[in-house]
Amino acid sequence: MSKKGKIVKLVLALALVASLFLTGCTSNGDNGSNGDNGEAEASLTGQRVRVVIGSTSTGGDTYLTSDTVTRYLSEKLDFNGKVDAIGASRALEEIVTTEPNGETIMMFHDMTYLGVAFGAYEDRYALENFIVGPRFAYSQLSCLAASADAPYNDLAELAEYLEANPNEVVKIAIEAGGVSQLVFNSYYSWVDETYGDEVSSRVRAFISGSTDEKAQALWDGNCDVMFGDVTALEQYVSEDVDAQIRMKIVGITSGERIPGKDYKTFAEQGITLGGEPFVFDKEYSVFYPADMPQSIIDEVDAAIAEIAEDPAYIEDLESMGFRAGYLSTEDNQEHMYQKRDSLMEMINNSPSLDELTAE
Amino acid sequence: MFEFGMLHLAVALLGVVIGIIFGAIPGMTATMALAIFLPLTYAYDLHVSLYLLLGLYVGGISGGLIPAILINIPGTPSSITTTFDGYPMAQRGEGERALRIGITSSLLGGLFSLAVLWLFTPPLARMAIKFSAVEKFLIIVFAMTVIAALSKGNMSRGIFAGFLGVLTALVGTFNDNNMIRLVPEFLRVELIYGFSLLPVLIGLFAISQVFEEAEACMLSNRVTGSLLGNKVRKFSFKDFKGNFINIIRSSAIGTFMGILPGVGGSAASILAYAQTKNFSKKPEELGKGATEGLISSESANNGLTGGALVPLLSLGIPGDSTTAILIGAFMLQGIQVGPLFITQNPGIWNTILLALLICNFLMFFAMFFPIKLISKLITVPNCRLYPIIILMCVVGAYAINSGVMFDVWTLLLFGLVGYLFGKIKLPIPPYLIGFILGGDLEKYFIDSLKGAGGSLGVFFSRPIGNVIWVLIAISIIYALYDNRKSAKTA
Repeated sequence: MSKKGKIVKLVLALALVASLFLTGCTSNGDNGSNGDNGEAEASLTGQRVRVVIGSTSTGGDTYLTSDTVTRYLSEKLDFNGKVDAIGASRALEEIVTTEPNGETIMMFHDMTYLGVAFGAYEDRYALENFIVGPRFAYSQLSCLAASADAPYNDLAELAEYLEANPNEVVKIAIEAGGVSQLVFNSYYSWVDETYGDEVSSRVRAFISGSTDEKAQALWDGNCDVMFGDVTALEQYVSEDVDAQIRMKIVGITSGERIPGKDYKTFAEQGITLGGEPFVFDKEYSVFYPADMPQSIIDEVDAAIAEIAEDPAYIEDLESMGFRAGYLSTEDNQEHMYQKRDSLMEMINNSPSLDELTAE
Repeated sequence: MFEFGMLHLAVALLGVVIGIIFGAIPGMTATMALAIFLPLTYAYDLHVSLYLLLGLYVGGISGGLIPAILINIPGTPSSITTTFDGYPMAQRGEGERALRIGITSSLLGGLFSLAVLWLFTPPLARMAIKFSAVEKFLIIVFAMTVIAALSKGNMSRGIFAGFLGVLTALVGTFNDNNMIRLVPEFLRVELIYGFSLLPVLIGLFAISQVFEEAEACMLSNRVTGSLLGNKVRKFSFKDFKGNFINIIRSSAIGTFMGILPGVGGSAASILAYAQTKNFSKKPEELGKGATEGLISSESANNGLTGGALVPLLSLGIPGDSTTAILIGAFMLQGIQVGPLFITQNPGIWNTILLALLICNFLMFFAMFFPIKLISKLITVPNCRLYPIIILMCVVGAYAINSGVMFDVWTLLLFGLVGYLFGKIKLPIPPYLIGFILGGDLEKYFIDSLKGAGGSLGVFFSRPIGNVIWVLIAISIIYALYDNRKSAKTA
């Protein structure tokens, strides 16, 4: 063997030994326990934490909120957090099968329970099979938008338009099994109760995917109204935008109007669900596998409570259109179960997607 | 009006080099590189982030040509057509020449699309909107006609393999009613989203090749011995002589496919290759190491880069899966991309154009000059090379969906499928093209029907659509004629 070859082999061998040594130094043999004592309380500190989210998009609301809070949490609790956008099905599977040692947690929004409620995901992913943690953000921006030249300006007018034009059908672009299906079903139920099934039968679902896919369906003329977030759609409302892609927001799902904006809420248009004004905020929470050590749950709770007061965190979220809103694990569990149960009657009474889908 | 300094140049170079590595490793893509580096960009301002991310994008798209040419494994889905002529050239001992042609074509395609992005973004965005689900469906059908062109002399097998590929693409959830189809009960969780593209691609190309080589005791030589040495044809810029129209056409097709939101980027090089074959004076040489095929494939897939930014920056709609990640970079910095982006953010817009220009040249220099070293890869004996390839493929497959073990099983399964296809003489490229395009084919078919109340007449109701029908018909008739001619001469 040449001298050069020997040197290369020596360098490679040393690099291998060094990398093994470094790997040994950084790994957590104690599975989340903090310190040398195996009986010490479990903690995320010093761990690598994989944050799985129920979306595959790295430009969507789930990623943006989760990535923001993960960055702040990583700093506060001194762990190495990484958001993995693996999609709803895989994230739910992870959270019901992963070891409860803090190496994997989930962040997601209301689709966590809506997906199961709508039958998109199996019952074994029901909230009861993992732990609902704290809420760290919410959005009051869910809305429905129509083409700017649509012959109605809000959802109440849309129902009147359908009543006055018995040959017209209105297709609303939504994503199956999520918040948009809930909003669609709620509107459909209200039209059905208020105007009867002849009119409601002409409110059809157009199943689509992400916001940009729904927008393209609207521009194609394949649908008439689309679900989205005000933050994403507001740019298309401007007068400066080409007529071909211009939109108008016909209803927002939050309880009150967005300050400085002229978008009507569902509630003020008289849209009700079960006799109550329809209000829906999309909420983003942490979820843990069942049997997660209480010490980890408590430390994350305490950290998010502090982060939610941090002006920088609030500003970061608001710059993207979200709001910081901490609810403790205990309060969020009660809140989320109640929210799910209050929607179950409407969901159970709604026609299936096959019936609601545009023909 | 734009930001540029040493830091920007350094991060662009870093991005390009890392992107090339990602593109060159089978199973790792530009999309993955951007997703990994996206959270890091929060620490920098948007301008610096853009240099890094666009470097990763350009490098990632370009790096795929290295394994495609040298070991017949497309590093990225858009490099499939690069293997058709690049690998035969490498087998002739012209690996270095093929790499240089590929890299130069990539640069030309990238610069063409940059010029289009710079000069025509608003009108092209308006045009892109006129392409509804109907036109997108028809363009995908048009791209699929390459199956007929590729299957010359063996058309029925090729078309059968193509349809089998489409069928495989339909495995998983049907979004319109959330029902899972073509999936056995015990795999419902693993296959809810269907088979992932990358493990299927690498399995069919790399693992099946490893199985075949294992059968031959890893003794075969990838380079024809007699052609090694000084007799091998060297690269010269004269290699591009007579390819001016080919470069423009292929770059334009790549850019155009990028502009169309929702049509997979892999379709760009497939469509460009099909048209090069149709317009070629010597179509029979394509697939056997013709430079025009290689030029077409590489100029088209880099033509995609600027094209995919057109709808992103003017409509807020990403042109491909990689630019979809760029939206995250803007959003994390509190900037909305959409129809008002260019007028409201002229500084960022100029930075994007400059960064794309610099990244294209950095890609060229970073790949062109170390080629002598890279091209030695083809002389590494199979028994040493293939274990490394298997390792990289497994790591890539595992990482593609952030750690899904089923993707590794998919890789092995499709390695076996590819091996069996070889045994029964079923061609792999048409199967893969069917698989890549099948999902979009169904989506736009269904969307068109939903929008038209179920009437099939919608596919003949739009002027642009009718033009595409004519192109489809010409492409099929030509392929049939060519097939018949070659059958007669055989």
